[in-house]
Amino acid sequence: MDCRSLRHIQDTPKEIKEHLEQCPSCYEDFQWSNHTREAFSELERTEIPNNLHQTIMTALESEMPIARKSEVKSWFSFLQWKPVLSFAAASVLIVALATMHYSRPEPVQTMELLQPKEPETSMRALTKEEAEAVTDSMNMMLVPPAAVSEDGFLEIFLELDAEEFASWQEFLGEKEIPYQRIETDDENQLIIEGTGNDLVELNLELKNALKLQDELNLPEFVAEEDIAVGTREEEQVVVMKLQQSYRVIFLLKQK
Amino acid sequence: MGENEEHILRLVNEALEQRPGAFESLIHAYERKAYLHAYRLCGHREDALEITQEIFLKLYRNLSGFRRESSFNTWFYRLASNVAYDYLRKRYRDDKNRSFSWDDDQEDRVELEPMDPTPWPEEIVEKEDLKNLMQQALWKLRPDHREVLFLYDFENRSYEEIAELLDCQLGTVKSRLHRARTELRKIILERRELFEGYLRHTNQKGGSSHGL
Repeated sequence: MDCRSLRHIQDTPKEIKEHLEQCPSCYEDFQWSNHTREAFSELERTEIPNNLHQTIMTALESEMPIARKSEVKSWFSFLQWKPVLSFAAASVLIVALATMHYSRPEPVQTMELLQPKEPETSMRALTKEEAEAVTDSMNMMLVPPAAVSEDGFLEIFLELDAEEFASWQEFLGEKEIPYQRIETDDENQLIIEGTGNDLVELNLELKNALKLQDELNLPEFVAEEDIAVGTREEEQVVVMKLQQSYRVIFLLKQK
Repeated sequence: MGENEEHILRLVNEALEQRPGAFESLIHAYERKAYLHAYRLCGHREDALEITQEIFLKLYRNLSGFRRESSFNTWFYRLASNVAYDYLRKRYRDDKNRSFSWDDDQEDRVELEPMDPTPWPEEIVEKEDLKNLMQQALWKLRPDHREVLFLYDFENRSYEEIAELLDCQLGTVKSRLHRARTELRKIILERRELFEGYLRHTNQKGGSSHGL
């Protein structure tokens, strides 16, 4: 047997074994390889940092050259800023997004959505427990119906009490997110507009926001793949939605 | 092409099309591998984390540069290595007490001062067995020597595969491997007295007069 044909030997065949026994040089190499491999196997058990993924994602955020990113980011900053509202707001946006797909162009009452029912598509409907958890924790301050406006926007309505309304207004101003203010005797609204893509991105960000669920004791009911990833068929639907413009209307709840 | 490679290529395509979530899925698929690769080369956890970030930043910027001339795994490995070695070069440059060359042809002409994340701990050497000493010795090797040993001895890769991953000639792989082994043995032999038992064992088994 040729020395050069030797490599690491796990289940040493007879002839290799015989060669090793009579060739000190190969035997020595064999031993060295074994010890080297053992040492590396320890090294490979190195603990992976828990924050590895998040650290990478944070580093990448500044790189994303997507114009809308800043807006979505700002939204998310707000979501982090106020956990309970954040969960509620992000949740209803997602629910609303699903709603639009299910039932456009008819306006839909969100309370209906929160009732368990047979899913109309492969997108998962909320279970009763999930719906109750959301309802309880949010105190159901937001009930956003959604509809398609005449000028083609998907409209999401967020009805807020005075404090929440003021928070949003302050936030939009602070982050310099352009908004329109409509103030009449009957109604008080803040309106922002963007693309459906932003909502999907918001959904991705939501995954991070959902880390708050432990504190809030909420189940994770919106999975990334529900909207962003999934079967080919679903993705087509998503692409359609991404191209859609949306309008979020913050309504001051009338007393 | 394996199922995994197909899946990865699909993710790459989707990431290039800016599909939401696609690039993050790529990160999920490679982050662990990238971190371990970085750690293996630099030997510092914090540096490895920093290098890993850089790897994915570079991947994000250069994904369109993947021409499918090799597998994505190979392409990614090279990219990750380049980032890690750039980082290490900078570290060496910043530290005037060290000198280092990555050029195998010049290897004999420069002082080889490997990255040494931990001083040689006498107490460990005294107490621990060969396995631990081997680990310590691996850390005292130059990063590129450690890498080639890892690919050959741990991952059981052929010279050809290693040459492709390292993007170098077959001869370079062989000579680097040879140097790595020589260096490793040299480091271990510095503590020869600790291994008399092992030496005896080797000599008896192999009848070698030149054991360790």
